[in-house]
Amino acid sequence: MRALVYLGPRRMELQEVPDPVAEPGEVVIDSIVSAVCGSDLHGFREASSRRIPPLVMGHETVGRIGAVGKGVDPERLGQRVVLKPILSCGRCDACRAGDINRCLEGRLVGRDLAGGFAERFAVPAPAAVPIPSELPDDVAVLTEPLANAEHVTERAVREGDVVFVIGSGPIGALMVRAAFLHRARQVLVTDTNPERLAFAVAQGAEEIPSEGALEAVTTATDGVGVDVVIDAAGFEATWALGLQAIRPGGRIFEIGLGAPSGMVDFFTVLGKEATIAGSYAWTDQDFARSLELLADGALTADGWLTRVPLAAGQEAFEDLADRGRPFKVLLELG
Amino acid sequence: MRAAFMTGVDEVEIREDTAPPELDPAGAVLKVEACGICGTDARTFFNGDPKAPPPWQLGHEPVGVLESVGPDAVLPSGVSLGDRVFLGSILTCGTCRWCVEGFQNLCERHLLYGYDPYPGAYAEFAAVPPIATKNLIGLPPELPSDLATVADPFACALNGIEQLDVRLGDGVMIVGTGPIGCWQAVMARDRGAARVYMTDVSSERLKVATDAVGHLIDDAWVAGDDNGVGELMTRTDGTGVERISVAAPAKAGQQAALEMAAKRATIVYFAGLPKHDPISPLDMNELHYKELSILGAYGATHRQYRITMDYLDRRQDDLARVVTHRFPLDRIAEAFETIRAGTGLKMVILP
Ligand SMILES: [Zn+2]
Ligand SMILES: [Zn+2]
Ligand SMILES: [Zn+2]
Ligand SMILES: [Zn+2]
Repeated sequence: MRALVYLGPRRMELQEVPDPVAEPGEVVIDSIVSAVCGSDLHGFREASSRRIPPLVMGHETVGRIGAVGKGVDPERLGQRVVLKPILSCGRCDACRAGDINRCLEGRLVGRDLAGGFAERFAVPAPAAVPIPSELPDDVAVLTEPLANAEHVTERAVREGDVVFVIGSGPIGALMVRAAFLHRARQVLVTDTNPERLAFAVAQGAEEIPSEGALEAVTTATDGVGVDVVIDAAGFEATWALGLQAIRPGGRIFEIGLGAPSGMVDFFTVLGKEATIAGSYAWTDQDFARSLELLADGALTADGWLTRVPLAAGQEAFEDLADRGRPFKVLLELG
Repeated sequence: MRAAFMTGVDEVEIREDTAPPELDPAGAVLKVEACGICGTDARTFFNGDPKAPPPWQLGHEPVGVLESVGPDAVLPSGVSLGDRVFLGSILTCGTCRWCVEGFQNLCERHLLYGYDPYPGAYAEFAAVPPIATKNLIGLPPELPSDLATVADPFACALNGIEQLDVRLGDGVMIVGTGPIGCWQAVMARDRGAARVYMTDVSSERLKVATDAVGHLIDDAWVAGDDNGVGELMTRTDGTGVERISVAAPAKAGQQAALEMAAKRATIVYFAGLPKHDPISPLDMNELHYKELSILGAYGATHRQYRITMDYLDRRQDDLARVVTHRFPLDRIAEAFETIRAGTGLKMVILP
């Protein structure tokens, strides 16, 4: 079978590799489409201790069950599924509290084992989640990224909040949508790349230009500041912007992977009694709710996704890494 | 090995030549050091239970040493062969929505250890079936085994207190002074309640309870004709208290709680009513005009069990006073009699 193999920073190669086998308790997913995530790109751009080459990345996948291992219901053959890529140990305190994203032994498909940028890959059966027949592939494939947004907004956003999303990539745009689903009154959004703002604005957000962003937020909130900041960029400059834009007592959620460390003005944190919280991935509950929301028609994929054949994967990665476009790439595998 | 068998309603027999449990490849065997005896055991013993077909080995609150572990057993992280452990009795599927979200107490397919098909631990050795290995919890070295057996009901009491959400400065009323009520009084005090009161319909039970935890509460009285409401009102200038736990399976207590409640108070119904008579009339105007919150609490989650072990360890001096009786295995009949007489709180069997 064919797979897009990551060989090191900026090196992707289409290779012929052996077919996977479904071990006991596993299924083989025949991929239909796999979306490229910001974290895959992060891995493509620079060497990372979390993505060791050679590696088949890809954790946002829709496919069909092509083989079942011992102990898995054979009725599942042919079932259309979305990949639920966190494989948690299931027995640590975090797992047993429902926080599988905090599992110390947690593994991610497409990072710690071969993922969805291949025609086929094997995963434990519970990681292949059945999807309703009327849900299109292009929408179902957004279950995992929307679960990320759900994990943030479910905690962050309360009825009537004004929310400021910094960074308007696919995750930022999904944050906008999820913030409205959680009954935000107003969502502001900014990005240094004005092209990328269009999708967030299409979700109902109000555009804040990156030049003079703070003034624009101040004006938009009558000088009060926003209730919630969701920083989907994660640079020193966006941490500072978030802290300046937040109202006293407000909540800042960090989900961007921009920079690992830097200066934060803690006088502002304490003076405003701001809460800064991290957010990583999602729980089973978020994932299930995300799938339900999509099945309910919470989101259409119109204009979001650019379909690219697997063979053009390397170029797609280069475009995304260098030019930030297209907005979100969907590799066609089946 | 020696084991106690319930051979019929109200009949128990000690058998010396019982075959020790076989090791399941995915399970374990416990050398039992202590096993609690609770209201559920007593009800089974006094009334019989289809899930305890005689001769049946009861006992679902065991503490012991992991004597052997099957080659395929999956133990919780930090637990290994030879460790002293407690076995939580609610056997959960681990895969339903509630298990996965961390509410193991609400598992859709839960079973109870010590009931068919899993014989209990009033014996020298007890089997840990594969479904139960995830319920093993390691014991802090300084925590005595007899006190650790109370982890099950204590974790349930903790769940009730968490639902009750006792805050600094609250007035707390505990209705029903069995072991659960006593522990909740201790926990409410630990959480900074300004006033903790207890009431019970039985003066005898109230006496045992105040002997155990009286030094930690402000006052206690017998619930008379008005179910204890009047006594509370005189102590609170007629305003009532912010937090009320009903730890008694009694409609009168549930109804009185609404009258005891201050405006915007929270009430937790901890104890269930008898299966054949579960409907309780409540004064909904109390609920409406005082903006009350009534919540339920049932069982305990994995997280609460973990907190429980540490809690028992840290506060053993006060909490151990609730364990009023200890019996060797061959005197288990006396333990049931003591429960029937209502002269004790928590009882432990030491095989
Ligand atoms: Zn992702
Ligand atoms: Zn885990
Ligand atoms: Zn019990
Ligand atoms: Zn369950």
